[in-house]
Amino acid sequence: MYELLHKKITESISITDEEFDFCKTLFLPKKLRKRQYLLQEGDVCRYTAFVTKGILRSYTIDNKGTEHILQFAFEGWWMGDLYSFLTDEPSMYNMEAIENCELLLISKPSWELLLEKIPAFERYFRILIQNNLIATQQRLMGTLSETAEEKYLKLINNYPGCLQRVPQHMIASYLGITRETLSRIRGQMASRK
Amino acid sequence: MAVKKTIAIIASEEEVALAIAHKLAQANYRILLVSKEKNLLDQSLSDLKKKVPNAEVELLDCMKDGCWEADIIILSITPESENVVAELIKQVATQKIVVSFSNQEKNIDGQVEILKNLLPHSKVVMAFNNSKSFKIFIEGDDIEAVQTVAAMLLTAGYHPLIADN
Repeated sequence: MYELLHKKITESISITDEEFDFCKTLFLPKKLRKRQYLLQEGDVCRYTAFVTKGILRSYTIDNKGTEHILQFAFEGWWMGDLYSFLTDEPSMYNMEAIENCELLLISKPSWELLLEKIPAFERYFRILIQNNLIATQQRLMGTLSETAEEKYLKLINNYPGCLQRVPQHMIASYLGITRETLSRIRGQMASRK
Repeated sequence: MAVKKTIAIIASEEEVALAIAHKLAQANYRILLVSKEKNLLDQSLSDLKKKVPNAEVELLDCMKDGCWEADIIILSITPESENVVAELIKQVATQKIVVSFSNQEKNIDGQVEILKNLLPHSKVVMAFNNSKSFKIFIEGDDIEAVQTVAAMLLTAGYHPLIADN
């Protein structure tokens, strides 16, 4: 259950077996079925999730009822609403399982305890957050200036396997394009090969 | 608008399991009943779904899976079964609230300690209920867990009383 978490953590920091054993006791193992919610808009985000199996998506719904996907989280990725998690304010996001998921959830008190008892984790989360900031900036710039084709190529490079596992309408939503545009791009890519 | 919480119920007696499931389903929780006695419970579950429209109640035969999906775990089991059950669910009960229902007043402190030792990383809350009334005395080390359980029991139509020690 914890192998992937261990692998991901030790990519950035060194921890002893005892330290990891302690770390394990702070995570809540949660199984979600496809289309079940981890978080709904208006809830306070009480947990940050590490995905061991499956895919989560986080999204908002605008006044017209259109969904806007912020992020996907595949195996080995983290997902949470940092603002709501840290401030206890209601979240504007919905988080849903795209496939059956196995997650490891950590609450804020547990997370604070983890950072306190094993200071090496400060580095681990610092690296996660800095990478997220960089990726977010790139996605923002991409939204403002990239063509649909460029966004599509970036997506399939960053999220290998997403085409097979994520429904087309969600990919289109993530890219900010219509399904028709997505079909056209995919058709063009295929014929170029 | 909160996500519906999932509650796993593991009970030695079907009537107890169904009674708790019924009240919690009415209070808008998603219920996973864990039992090997599929045939006995299927009919009762259909009846429950007729009485509580939109009830999300499911029968599972795997204790581990039920507790893995659950946000809160309810046990109504004999002290003798505690060892076996705890061993099966320990890994997936980490950091979760585990409510142990008992109707035996005798040695409730001893029972708390035993269960806490069997599930050291869960938030164990003892609930004692004299089955003649809806009053339930609850106690546990984790204040937030106790309050969550009290709120859950209240919305289910019970009368929770937090025991102070």
